Amino acid sequence: MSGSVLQIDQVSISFGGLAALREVSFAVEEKEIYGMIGPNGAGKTTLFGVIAGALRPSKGTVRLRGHDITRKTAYQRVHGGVVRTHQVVAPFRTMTVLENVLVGLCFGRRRLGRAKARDQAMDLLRGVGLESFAHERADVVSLGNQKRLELARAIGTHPDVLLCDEICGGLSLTETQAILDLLRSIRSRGTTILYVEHDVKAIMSVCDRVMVLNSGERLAEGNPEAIQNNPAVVEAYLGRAAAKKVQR
Amino acid sequence: MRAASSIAGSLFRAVRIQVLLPIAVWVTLAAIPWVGVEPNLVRLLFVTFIWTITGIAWNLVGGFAGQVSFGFAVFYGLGAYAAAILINEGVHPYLAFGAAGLVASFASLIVGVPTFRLRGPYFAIATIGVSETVRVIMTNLSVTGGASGYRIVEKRAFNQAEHFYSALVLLTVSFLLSVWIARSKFGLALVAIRDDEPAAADVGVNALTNKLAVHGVAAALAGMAGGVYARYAAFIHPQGVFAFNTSVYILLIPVIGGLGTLFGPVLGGVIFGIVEEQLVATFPEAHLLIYGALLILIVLLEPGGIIGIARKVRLPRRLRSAT
Repeated sequence: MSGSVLQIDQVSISFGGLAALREVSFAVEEKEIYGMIGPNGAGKTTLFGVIAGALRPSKGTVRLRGHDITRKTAYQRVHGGVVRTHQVVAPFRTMTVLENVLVGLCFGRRRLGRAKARDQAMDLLRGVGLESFAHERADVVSLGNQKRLELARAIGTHPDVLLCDEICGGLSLTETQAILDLLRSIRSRGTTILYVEHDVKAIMSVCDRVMVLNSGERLAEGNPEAIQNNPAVVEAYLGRAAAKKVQR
Repeated sequence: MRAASSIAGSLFRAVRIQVLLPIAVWVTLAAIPWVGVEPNLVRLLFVTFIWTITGIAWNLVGGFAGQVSFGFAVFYGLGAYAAAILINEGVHPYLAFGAAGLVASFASLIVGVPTFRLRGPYFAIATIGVSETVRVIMTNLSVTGGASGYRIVEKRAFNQAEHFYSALVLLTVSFLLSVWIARSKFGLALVAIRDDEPAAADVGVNALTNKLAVHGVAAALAGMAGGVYARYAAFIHPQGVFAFNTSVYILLIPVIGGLGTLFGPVLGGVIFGIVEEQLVATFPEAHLLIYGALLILIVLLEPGGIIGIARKVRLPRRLRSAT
């Protein structure tokens, strides 16, 4: 596992009496798109929170290129190269679309000055197809565009690892395809992606490897095809009867 | 070509209003002590400048960074006392003003480190607690005269124009500083924190450091305003400069004018400065009730203040010209 960019070891976290994650371990390799699926309440977003620094695990470690970042705050992890997008979009609503991206460029890893960041922000917006909305207020553009904005703002911080939390949720088929193409092109530029999505089809079409979470535990890991035929996974999603059919 | 010239035209109009108008107002104000205006009007303008400076300072923290503080009287009062004591010790008044700013800025760190870990209403409540604590301490502190107040005795002759210019210069510096902050990377971080603090942290903004920095700058301005006022008044007391009312007035100014805007606190300061004395004189018992009602009305009906109304009035006209 020496080539791992991100390594999660035995991470556990509970909220009150509820164990949201139980000794979850996995490693994400350089430049891969690593998918994460699981039924509602499986702990996917909690795991994202632990990796991005919003939540502190009660046990276990998060390592970035071998360095323990478990105790680092969210902004320190961004400076280290880990950035997340939000399941519920969180634009800076009184800013324009352009200014939102400026924040990522100015305060991410490159810490650009505001003037220099401006040119690059326009390039980023062009990359996600938002250049014509650059001067609109971020809270008036459509949900699909706000999701693109989340992505552009996060990429602006110049991450090594991009955590995408249900970036296609609530989008049309065409919009989903466009976002998936975007993820592929981000990866081709050298960024590792950890991708959570409810849309199993989307995950299977874009990911190199997939992990399945269920009730806070790691259920399975493998390439998309193996995961789709894994009886334990089918059982978690569709029940025992369906799992038996797969086994036959 | 026509489109380009119309864009150039509207740009010129915007520049004319936003740059030339303030310059014209500033030149007129600067000329006032020269043209022999009656001293009472100069005094009223002086007081208006002081309120406006505190309003601009509060707007940096409350308007730009969205941290609603009810404790700005702490910095205003500490600045007033620091300048007063130093002037009595023979320090040059201008140096004393600078020191007043430093003292207030240092105090803002002590207040900010614990309170900025709180969010929203909890932060606001904590600032009230700090403010009342400081007021009670100053009321009982015998070194500064306690509740009886503190008198400033200056050896130089009183020169109203000098006081007027001290306040005008500080006002100008405060306004230009707020313009610079609004356009800087620092200003961008503050607005990000106001809009969504966790999301700001998720793109690399260190919220605590930025909040402490803007609090420090704002406290320095409020403290210097306190110092300039103390020298003019020649007498200060805790129930005046440290009063909860003072904190509310400071907050009310940008709210009236337009929270988080550059000209909002200036407009609010002018209105408040002119109206305040009349209100206190006409309704000595009820003026606080009027301020409270005004605050509620603005928050309910037009949270954008006067600037917010102006923007709404201008919008339909633009729509009309577009059709």
